[in-house]
Amino acid sequence: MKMNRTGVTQLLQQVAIEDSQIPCIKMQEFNAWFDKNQVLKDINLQFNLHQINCIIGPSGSGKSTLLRSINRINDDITSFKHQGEILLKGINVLADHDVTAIRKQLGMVFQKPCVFPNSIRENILFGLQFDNTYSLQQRQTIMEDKLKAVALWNEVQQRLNSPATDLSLGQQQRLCIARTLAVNPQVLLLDEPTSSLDPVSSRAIEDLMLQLKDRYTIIFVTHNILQAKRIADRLIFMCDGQVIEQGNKEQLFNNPAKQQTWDYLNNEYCNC
Amino acid sequence: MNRRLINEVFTIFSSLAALFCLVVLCFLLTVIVSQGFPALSFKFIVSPAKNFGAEGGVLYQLLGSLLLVICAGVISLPIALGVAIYKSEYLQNSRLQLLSHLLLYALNAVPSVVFGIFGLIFFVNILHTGLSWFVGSIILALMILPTITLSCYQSMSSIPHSYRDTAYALGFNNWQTVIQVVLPQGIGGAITGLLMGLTRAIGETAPIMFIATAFSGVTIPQTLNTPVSSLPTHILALTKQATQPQALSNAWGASLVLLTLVLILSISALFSRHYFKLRTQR
Repeated sequence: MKMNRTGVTQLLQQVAIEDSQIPCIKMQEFNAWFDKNQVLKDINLQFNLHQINCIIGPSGSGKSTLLRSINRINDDITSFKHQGEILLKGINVLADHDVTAIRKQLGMVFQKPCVFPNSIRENILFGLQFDNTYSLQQRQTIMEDKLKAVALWNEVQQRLNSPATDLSLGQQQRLCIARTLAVNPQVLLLDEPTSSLDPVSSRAIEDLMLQLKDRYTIIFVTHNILQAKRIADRLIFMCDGQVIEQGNKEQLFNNPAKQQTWDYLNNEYCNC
Repeated sequence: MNRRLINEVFTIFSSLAALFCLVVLCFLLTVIVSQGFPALSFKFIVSPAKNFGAEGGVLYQLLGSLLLVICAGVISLPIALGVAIYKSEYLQNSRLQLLSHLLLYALNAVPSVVFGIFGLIFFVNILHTGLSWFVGSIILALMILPTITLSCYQSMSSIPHSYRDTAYALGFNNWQTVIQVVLPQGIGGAITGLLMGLTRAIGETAPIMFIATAFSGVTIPQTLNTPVSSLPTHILALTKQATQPQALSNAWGASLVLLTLVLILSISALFSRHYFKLRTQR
């Protein structure tokens, strides 16, 4: 059954209230191709509610493709084809629903901070431009709340009308996270959000994730094994388009079931 | 040593080429300004032409030219924006993309007189519009359409794809992304292209002389189906009477007015490009 934006949003909120025990996102037998090149193979995964789910793996292992498949950004690429199911609280996001409603529930932050050439205020409220349900006062409140949520309010409250591009890269990335939070998603998908940042800014993002996990389910793609060790609750190791191993952090770091996982976590080497 | 020599030869050649262009431009400007300036006065600009242009000023020619190009801009800008948006946002087939690009470049290279002949055959002979300033504007709009389209397309396709991905990830659909991301950043290219197109259109004689303009006896048009007079066709008519010193002097004066309009449009195009570039880099 095709659902419109309101239908998808209402159903997801209903599920959230009724049953918080089911996995937030579950991928079943998911395969993906760019033309004839299979990039994701038989993915069976689950991402737990209100946890930081870290995906690690070498370059080209399909981590970003997997993340982009979840909120269907890859749908716009003509050569992209997929098979299988991705369930967001039991609802198959790949079914013929309103894709924009699905994407609003699955906020995504990219590798490089991408702020629009507008003011800080306009950037934060960018996702609400076509939403008439918020008054001016409510928008102001959302902006303040989200900037506080990403610990940016004190740094920018005096210059909300200044260009967002004047901020440092670390601040820009936090602004991108705040902009994503402003559309009220249930899940945060972060595709190596600290890879272009300096160590201090990276730690600020990590601290932010630890604070946000009580309110959001976080899926965090990273190359940095130490970073995954610091922030992950659950770890997924991918190589060559396949999930090699998944489980809680302690289990994977202390007692991995697969030799490939051990090799990668200890030597950053993978022979898939 | 050899590489340094080639570098120096290339530098000298480039400098000489640039110098040659500059000298030719300065020469033309000097001649037009020195010859046209004595005829130029406030009265010359606000007076209508008399005695087939040998006396009086260029009021209706100036207004006619402005009317033709402004209307051409109004017609072509939305079409150019539509084509550019379709090409950059929706047309994913690479062969069709290449074909549309080739067609636009081919249309851009069509000599202006061919547009005039097309207008004459299609509008005047087949549709029986008669001499009409509006038809002239349509033909000028067609002529400048590829210039504006290509400029819009280039500025839209240079927008980083991450902006579109970010908008989609925030729950925008295609047209919302176009309105909020592509258009605000592509509008600079559109305006620069429009000004470049108008610069070309305002100096054209051939496309409009058979279908839209009359050489004398015209005022402000009251209907769409009346002719106007334009500066280029007025200059053409005056140079045909070059044996009369007053007509020749007025031709130089009209040329200077036209040149000033072209310079204003060109400089505006340069400034707009610079302004929008700064705005998107902000």
